[in-house]
Amino acid sequence: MWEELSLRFQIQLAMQKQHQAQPHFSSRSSPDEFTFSQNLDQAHLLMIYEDDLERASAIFGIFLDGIGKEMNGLEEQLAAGDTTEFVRKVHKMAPNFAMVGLTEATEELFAIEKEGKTAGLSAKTRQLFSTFGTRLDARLALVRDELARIKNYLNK
Amino acid sequence: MRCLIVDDDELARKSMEMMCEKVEDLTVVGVCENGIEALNLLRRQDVDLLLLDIDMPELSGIDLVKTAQDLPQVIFTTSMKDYALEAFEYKVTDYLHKPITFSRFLKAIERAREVMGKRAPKEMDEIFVKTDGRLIRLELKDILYIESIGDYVVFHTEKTNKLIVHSTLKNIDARINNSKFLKVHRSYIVNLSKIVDIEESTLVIKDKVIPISRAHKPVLMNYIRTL
Repeated sequence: MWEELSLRFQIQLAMQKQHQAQPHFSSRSSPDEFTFSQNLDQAHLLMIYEDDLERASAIFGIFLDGIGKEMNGLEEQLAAGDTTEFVRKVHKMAPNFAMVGLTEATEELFAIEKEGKTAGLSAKTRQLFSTFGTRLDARLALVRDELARIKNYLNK
Repeated sequence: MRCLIVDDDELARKSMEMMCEKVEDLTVVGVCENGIEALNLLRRQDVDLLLLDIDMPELSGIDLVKTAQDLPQVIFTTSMKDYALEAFEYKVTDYLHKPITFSRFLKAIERAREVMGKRAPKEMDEIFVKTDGRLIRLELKDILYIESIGDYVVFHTEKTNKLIVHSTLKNIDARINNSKFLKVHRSYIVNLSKIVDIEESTLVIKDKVIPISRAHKPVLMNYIRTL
């Protein structure tokens, strides 16, 4: 399980590097049309924002501003053994990752929530959360890059 | 449509607010971080539509719907699919699963528009009564109680004291579309907000002791409990 998750993460990182070297235009779009990065869940982002890049920019910004505090809060609840609040906050945070195209992270958070609800702050819950934490920086980098692209496009 | 957004998550609030801004006939009259703040705002602000998160600390969206009276239309928002069944028990207009797409949001707003069009007229707050050949406007909030005496009904009010109208209590009861008014006896309709106290089979409004019939007592007590 752990090896499989680690492998998937490595593949994602490799795809990210490859993608950064390429321009972000889909085959069906004109060069002037913005297309969400392939490193994020493009289809999901398109469904959420359609062509509303102002909203995407605002949401990406709020997400990046608040995620550090949210994660610290979760760490504190985990340390204090506050299962109820930990599970509640994980549940609240989960859809926010999908709002920035990190749908895989959303699924992982839902898995942590489910585990927390059934087994409390068990070793498995902690391990799932720890794994989530180790992937976070790379994921946030993707969101930061995407926000920069969006802002750049809007400022053209 | 005047709408109020209630969510304890900043990102969800902002996203909802920006979607609302894109819809021409939607005006965001307030954005609240919790249910208690929303309840307070609902008391002083006319709202047609409540975009209400279910999972909030202290007072959840479902608790708010259970607690509040005269709520506007409600669209629940949540990231929990399990709530859907429970949410619809409260006759909400729609239920949006987070993260919310714009097209799904628009569908919910369209549903709210439809419901609004079909809704019963807003509760009346005044009535015209014919007395001495004149039509006199009475604000319902000024009426203490309405008493039936033979072929006449007497409006006891705070301002004009008494207005005698040739009508029946049944007719008046049918005409007053206001949840604050309740028939408590075959000869009395009372303004619930003016009741001073209630005993076994009587109630008092401004020193007047009004009988409560056995048939109307359970209905009255039901109203009192929910006040």
